[in-house]
Amino acid sequence: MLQVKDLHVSVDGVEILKGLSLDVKAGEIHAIMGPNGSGKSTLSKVIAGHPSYEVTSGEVNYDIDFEAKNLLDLEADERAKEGVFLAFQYPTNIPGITNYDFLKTSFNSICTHQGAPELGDEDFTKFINEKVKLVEMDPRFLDRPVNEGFSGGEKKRNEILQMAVLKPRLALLDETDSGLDIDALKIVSQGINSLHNKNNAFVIVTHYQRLLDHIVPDFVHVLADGKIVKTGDKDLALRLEKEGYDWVTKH
Amino acid sequence: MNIANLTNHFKQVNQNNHLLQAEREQSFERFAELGLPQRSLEDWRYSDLKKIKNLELINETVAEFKVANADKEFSFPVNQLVFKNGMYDQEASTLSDGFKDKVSVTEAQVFSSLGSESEFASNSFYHLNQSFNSQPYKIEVADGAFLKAPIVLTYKYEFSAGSMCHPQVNINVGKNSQVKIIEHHEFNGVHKDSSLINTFTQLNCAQNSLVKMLRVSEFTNSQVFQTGQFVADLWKEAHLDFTSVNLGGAFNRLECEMNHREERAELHVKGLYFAKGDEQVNMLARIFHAKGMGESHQLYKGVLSGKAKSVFDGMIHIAKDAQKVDSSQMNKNLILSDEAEVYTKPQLNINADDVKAAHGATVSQLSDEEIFYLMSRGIAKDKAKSIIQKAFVDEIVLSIGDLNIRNWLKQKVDQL
Repeated sequence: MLQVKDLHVSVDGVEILKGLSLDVKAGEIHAIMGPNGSGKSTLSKVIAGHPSYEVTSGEVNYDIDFEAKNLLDLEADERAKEGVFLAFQYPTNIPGITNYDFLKTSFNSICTHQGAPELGDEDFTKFINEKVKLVEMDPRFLDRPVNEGFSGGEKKRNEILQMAVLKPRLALLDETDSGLDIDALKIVSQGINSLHNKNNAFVIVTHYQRLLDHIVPDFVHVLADGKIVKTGDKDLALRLEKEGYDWVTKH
Repeated sequence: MNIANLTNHFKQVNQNNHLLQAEREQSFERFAELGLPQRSLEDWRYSDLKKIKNLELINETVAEFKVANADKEFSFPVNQLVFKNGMYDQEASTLSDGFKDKVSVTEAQVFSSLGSESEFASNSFYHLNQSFNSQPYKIEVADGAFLKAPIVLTYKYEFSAGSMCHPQVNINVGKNSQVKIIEHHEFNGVHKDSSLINTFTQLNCAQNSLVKMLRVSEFTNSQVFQTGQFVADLWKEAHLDFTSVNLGGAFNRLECEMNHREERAELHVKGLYFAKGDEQVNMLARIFHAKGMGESHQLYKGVLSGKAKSVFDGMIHIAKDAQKVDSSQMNKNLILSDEAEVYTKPQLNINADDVKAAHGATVSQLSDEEIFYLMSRGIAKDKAKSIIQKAFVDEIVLSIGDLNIRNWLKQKVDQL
């Protein structure tokens, strides 16, 4: 589904990713771990199409339903329409637009792209209320401006709500576990597990192992200094937790 | 604008005036004395005075045109007074019987008077209005009147380039009355050369009255210069919500003076303005708290693109004995281009020691992070930008409580 080949990325002339390769197939869950400053967030933002990151060389190929696409040719909104989703580490506040209107606009623009009919208020309300239950969110949050005045945990939950609404094929979760207490972590994990199926894939960027107590990854990659330096299964995450990232760089 | 030319023009015009000749002469003298605004005047400092200097105003406007379907503007019940180039047109107006029982519209025989502290006494454009206006009108809302349908003052303009027009109206809302008022100025033509519309509106909110007023000026794409003076007096426990919306035009300056004449009055002033190309907007707000325990809250928001320029100049005066006043003043600007300019000057002049007075201003651009966030959810870049812009503007639009009026305004704003 996603093939990243020898990707080099710079921000303001500083190289952050230095030849990163990653292969993700449908149905898989990949965890990307690594110390601060290793380039974890950069990877997910580049795949989602953030304009501040400059790809200096390498490829990001994406194929779903037997159609291959070069993601780097697509604008961020086009990537989203093709099923790429980024759960932000720091979700942005958008004052003046309600969560409900935002979700509806977003959902309908993706529907239109995929040739499905748009939902009117009545149908969308029914649809959204089910998703709100899934992430155990207070429905009143729908009427509040996007992320405005939300606590850290509420913002993360809101990201999972958006993911549940948009049903992405490739979901990138950028430190979704940071700032969550244990109950919120469980709810967010349950949300992710219930959305996961054989047709979609998850790339979970995390600093800590604790999210992986709830979500079982097929692969764990260690990112250090802009490259993937080690790949293993879930046991690698446990080992990292015990030994620290120094262990990887030494071995 | 050339004073000598204007003087000749005034002499001709005033000969034909059937009333207030002496007062007009006095006003014109005062205008000539004050002259055109100078850069040395603090509240004209950031305006483009060259544009005003180059205005050549020699033509008198006449009201000899037909206003068709003015009532089609509104899809909800209104009491509509139509003014053609400032002159009341009874035939084109639509007034319900209920309205006629409670409201009178007459040709005023005297000019409205200003309070002694009013800054309009030294305002050139105020005196220009007094000198040249064709006919001042008085709208009187009876005590205890409750009007469900809004009173709409529809100002239609039609004249050739180089003309000027000076409408003047005085609205008195009686004790314990509740009214909604829309003052709508509209000019449809496109003039290559400039002309001037210079309005003076006075509103008196008697004790315990509740007035919600919306002023909309719709001069999109025209070279008409708009200057306006608005003065409101609030008496004991009166409540006024005043929202002014400027949808564009070459030059728009609206000066508001609001006076808390007695205690416990409540005032909300909101402004929304759009300027593009090389358009200019000047918004001035002077709030005087002569008496205590009142409230005043101002929020002005501007959206600027191209090389447009805006000036916000706000002032809250709180008199020495006006204790327990709660007041605030905020100006927020969204600039959509690198060349747009914003000058903002919120000010306080506080002489009492037990009051609340807050003031502030912001100037911002569309945030790249907000745009990316929306794009990452499948919303195209242009749409994302317009959503964020709309959200900025909605704070004012959604503050209009009457749904019919809000939707009417929303439609106009969305079209921009």
